[in-house]
Amino acid sequence: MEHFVEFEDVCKYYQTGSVKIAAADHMSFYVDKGEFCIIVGPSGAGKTTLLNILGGMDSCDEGSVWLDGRNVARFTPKELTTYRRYDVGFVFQFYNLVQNLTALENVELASEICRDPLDPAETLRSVGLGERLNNFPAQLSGGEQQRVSIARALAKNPKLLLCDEPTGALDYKTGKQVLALLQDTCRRTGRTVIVITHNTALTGMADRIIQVRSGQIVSNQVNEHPVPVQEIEW
Amino acid sequence: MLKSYRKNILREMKGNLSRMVSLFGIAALGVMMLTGLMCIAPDMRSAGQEYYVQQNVFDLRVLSTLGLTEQDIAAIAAVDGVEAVQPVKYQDVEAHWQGREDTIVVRLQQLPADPEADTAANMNRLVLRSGRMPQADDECVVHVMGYEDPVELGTVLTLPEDTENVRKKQYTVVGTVQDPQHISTDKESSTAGSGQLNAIVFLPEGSLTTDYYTVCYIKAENADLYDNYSEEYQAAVDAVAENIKAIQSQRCDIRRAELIEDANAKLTDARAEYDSQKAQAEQKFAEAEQQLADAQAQLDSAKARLDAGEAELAANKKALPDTMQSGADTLVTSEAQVLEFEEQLQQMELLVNLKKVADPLLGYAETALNNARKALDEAEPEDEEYTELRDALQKAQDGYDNINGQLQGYQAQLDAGKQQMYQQGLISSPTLDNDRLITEAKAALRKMKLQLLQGQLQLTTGTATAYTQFDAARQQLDAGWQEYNDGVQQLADSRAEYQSQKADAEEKLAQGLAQLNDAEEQVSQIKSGEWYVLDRGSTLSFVTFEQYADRMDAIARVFPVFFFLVAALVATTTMTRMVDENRLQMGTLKALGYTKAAIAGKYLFYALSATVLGSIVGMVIGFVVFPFIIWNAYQLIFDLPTFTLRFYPGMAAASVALSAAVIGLATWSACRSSLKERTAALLLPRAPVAGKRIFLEYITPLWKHMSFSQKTTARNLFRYKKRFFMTVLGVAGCTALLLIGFGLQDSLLPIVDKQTSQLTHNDMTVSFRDEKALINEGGLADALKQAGTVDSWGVFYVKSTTLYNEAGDSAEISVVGAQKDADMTSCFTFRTRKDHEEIPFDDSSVILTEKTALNLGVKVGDTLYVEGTDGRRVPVTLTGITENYMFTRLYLSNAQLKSYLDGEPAWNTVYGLTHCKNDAEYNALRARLLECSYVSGVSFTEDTNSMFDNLIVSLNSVVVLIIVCAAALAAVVLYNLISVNLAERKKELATIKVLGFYDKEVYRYIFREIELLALIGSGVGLLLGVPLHRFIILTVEMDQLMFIRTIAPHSYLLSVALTMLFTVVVCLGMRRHVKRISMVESMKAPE
Repeated sequence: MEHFVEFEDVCKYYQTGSVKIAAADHMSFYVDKGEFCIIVGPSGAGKTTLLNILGGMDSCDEGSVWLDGRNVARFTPKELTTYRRYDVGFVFQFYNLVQNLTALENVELASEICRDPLDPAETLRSVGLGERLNNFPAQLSGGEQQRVSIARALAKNPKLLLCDEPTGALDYKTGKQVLALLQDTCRRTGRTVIVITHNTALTGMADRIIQVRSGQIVSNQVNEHPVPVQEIEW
Repeated sequence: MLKSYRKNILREMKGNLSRMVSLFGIAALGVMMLTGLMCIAPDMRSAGQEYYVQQNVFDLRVLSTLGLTEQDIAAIAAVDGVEAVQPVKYQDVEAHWQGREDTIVVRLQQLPADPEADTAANMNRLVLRSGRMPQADDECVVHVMGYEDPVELGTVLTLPEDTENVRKKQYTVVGTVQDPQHISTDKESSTAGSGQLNAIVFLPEGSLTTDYYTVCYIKAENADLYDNYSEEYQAAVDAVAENIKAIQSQRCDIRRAELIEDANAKLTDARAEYDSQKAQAEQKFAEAEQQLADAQAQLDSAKARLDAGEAELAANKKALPDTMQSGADTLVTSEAQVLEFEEQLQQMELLVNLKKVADPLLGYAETALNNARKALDEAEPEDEEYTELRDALQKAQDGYDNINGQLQGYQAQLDAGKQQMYQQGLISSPTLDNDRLITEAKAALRKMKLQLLQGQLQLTTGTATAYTQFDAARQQLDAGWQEYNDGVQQLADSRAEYQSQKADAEEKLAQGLAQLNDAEEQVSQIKSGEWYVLDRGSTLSFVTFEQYADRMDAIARVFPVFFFLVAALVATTTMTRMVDENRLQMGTLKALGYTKAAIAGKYLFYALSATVLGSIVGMVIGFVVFPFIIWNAYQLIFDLPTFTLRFYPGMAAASVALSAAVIGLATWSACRSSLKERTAALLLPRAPVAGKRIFLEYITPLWKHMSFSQKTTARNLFRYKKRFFMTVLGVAGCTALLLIGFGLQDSLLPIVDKQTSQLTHNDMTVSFRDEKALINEGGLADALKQAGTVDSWGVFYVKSTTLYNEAGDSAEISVVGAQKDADMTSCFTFRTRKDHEEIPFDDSSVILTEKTALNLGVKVGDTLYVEGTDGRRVPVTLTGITENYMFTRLYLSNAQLKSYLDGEPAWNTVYGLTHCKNDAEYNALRARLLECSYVSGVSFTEDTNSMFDNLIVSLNSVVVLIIVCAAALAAVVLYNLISVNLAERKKELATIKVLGFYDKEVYRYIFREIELLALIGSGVGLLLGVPLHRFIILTVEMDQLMFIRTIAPHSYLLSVALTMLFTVVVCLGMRRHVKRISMVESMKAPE
């Protein structure tokens, strides 16, 4: 397979009572290695389902999900865990930091279980939190917390960085900083980054834009001229 | 309440089932503990009260040192407040059960005329256990004391022949009963034998012949209106007791006067009796002496007769040859006579014949003469013829004269012969004519010849007869001598016997006299009697029973408190969490205009419904299972048929109310803080509890060395204080309970082993009635020496008595002293419990077993008072307190024992060490020793151990109960902790799952802190458990036993291990809840 990430006819159904709803209805798309990809769509379009399946948190009912030549859709729960552990870095909308751990410890939490982790402190410094290593999440601002979250994802040295509405809980300015960090990371490290958002305004910064609606892929286009985050307004 | 709101509540309940289970569980546990432990004491007291009423147990009893007479009883009956009296006679004696060799001490007690009468006066009615009540006057029913072997129906009780005041000497057991005064296994002391009662034997009315009563039982008026354990009851009884005490001194004086009078009368009788006996004896002596003298005289005369006989025999023997000679001589003489007579007869015959011939001649001569004369006359004288004629005449005359003379001579000879023969009796007449003479003489001759022949024959046979007669005479004489010698021997014997009897009789008389003098002395010493007016509180069984109920009360006061504390913490944690989760809903409801009360009501309803349901379940278990198990254990000590499970509505309501209050308050306080916030604030998610540094982090070296996950765990531990305390306390409770359970086993189980292997070095006790047992040839001493299975033995004095301290507190103990002090130290090890420091044993030693020392509060150097056999209290100085677990004893050195007894002790026990390997050997030894005279009992330590086997069985059921409670506590608390943690940290766990933690790592992440909390809880539990264990041990300890105070190290380990096992099991059970957490949770907005 030439594509780094590829969905082939992925379907996911939810049974609610007698009604069967297709959250993912024959989704097919691909993302190449090193791309900064934004998947965009309105609420309930199937973004999260796509993310869950791609992130190894949920399984699909039909189709194949390829990542770096392996079919994630065929993975056993244990293999999925291993996959999440080594191949995927996750950035949550609500940061999901462990309140009881300092910034550094939150990063360590992830890096401890990895095969080839980056230095946690170094990673935190690289996201600009060199001074905040020993602060607890409650002592950090939202943007700082999200940066810790990104550092935690990066420290695992994953093949793929998945970000679920990384700016959803942040103000405009901080959101921009975070997006900039992500874009910068992608550029600097050549890591594939997939960002999920409902905000179409962000698409300008992506290398690839995938649109989702009603569980289907509406479009998958390459943005030949991505612009830096700073130039985007929303 | 509004319909939709009610629906909301019900849905909430369904949706939060795990929380309901937590609340339900902890409420159930708390109430179970509370009701379970609290109901035992009332259960026991109710059983006691019911039993006392049912068996019509006395309210008061009066004992007198001088016995109670009919008049005394009448006087008591007349006392104000006495409803009914029941005088009872009893006496303690030594006796035997048929088929058993041991001597036992039994109390013979006389039954009332109708033992089943339903009257107030028929007190202490027996509970018939088997068989029937006695009907015939040689039947009895029996109550066996304590742990004695049961007695089969049909067994015969044999009393010693010299038992006084009892009609029969044998009674057949027709029933077994329970004496309501002995519902516990407490021992009853006795004045007879070993000093300890083995059984009470109830005899039909009239079996005891004493003219006074031993005890008078009293029913107090109105006392039965009140519960036995109430103050009103005690007051009612005390009032009557006072009234009775008021007549005591008067009655006692009368009784004393009576006794003295009686005694004096008896003494007079006795003296008269003595005198008459003495006279009789002297009379008898005289008679006996006379008899002896007579016998001697008879013997002497017999001897004389024998001597005479002997002489005669000798003479006869000597005379025999002479007799024969004379017989022969006589024969010869007779023969000569016969010959002479024959010759005479021939001469006679000749003479007769001659005469016959001569007679005609005479005629011729006469004729010739006559012719001659005529011729002459015719012739003249001068004629020559004349002359011739005259010459012829002359010649004729001459011839005639000649013939006539001859004839005359013949006739004279014949006549002389006739005369002679006649004189000799040979002929019938002296004047017989000659022919008859010859005939008769010939006949006489024949007769003489015949006689001669007969004489010859006689002589021959006579000799033979004489010799036979000699032999017979000899034999007769010999027999006579034999008889005589026997007589002499007999006489000697009789004389000896007479002497000894006389000595005996004299001694008896002397004794009689001494007794008379003693009696006289005693009469002069008859003291005024004393009455003891005692209530139920002086009856050991009742007291023990009440004590045990009180002990349960004490325990019931400690444990539930703990459980309710944990319940409060569990409820707080759970409800706080629930309220937090529902924060938004609360805000919304508040915004919609619901009142605080309505909102809080939901949570209260939620919590209280769980609590009430849990309480009901807990109550059921508490009211049923706890009394069942604990009473089961108590049945070793008590035998009370009226014990049943009871329901106490008040207690039930109170415990439900209490748990509802505790949990309701916890819920309310959880709601209140949230409801106090402004509605707007409620609508916002609550800021998560901020991470904090913990004190450990400041110990940098330590913190640095901890792994990352250890640090996380350490921080999490202290994140929520309430949860921390709830868990630590709950788990601590679990460990403490386990420690108590195992500690109880540690305290009880090794007692036997410690006592028998370390402290007491004998396994055999032989009791005997008299020291002669040891001195006797072939007696106990020899039997012990010969028995191959007895290694060593020593002679001891053992007697149950009472010990007093300075303050007058008393304790029942056995005084033990050895004949040789060396035996004492080889039989018993004296050492302190704590350091095992040896206590020296010398002449001044007075060593007390530890339990008694603790009970009396005495220490080394204190003065103790030992009650002597005569009731005196002898002071001794305590020199040591020794480690001891079974029985209570006061060990005295030989010297101390002698001074205590004021004389040489009557040794009555042998302690020995055997090496019997099996029952057969034990039984053989027992049988061998029981054969010895004076031996009254043989027991082996093996026997005592069976009691402990029972104890262990019921102890184990209590321990199981404790383990189950502990497990339940741990389970509820840990389940609650984990479910709260899971609910609260759902997002965190989802996140780390997303981060790629394997399931095992997730489990470890969440459960490690639970386990660590459990470990901390266990540690605290150990600290809590030690004093609690001590409290329980001290509370439940029996008087005769001292429980081991320390807990074995492995019990600590086991308690912690078991706690951790429960923890691990709960964690394992909770894994699926962790697994079930969806990673999608991580996407959700914070609460």
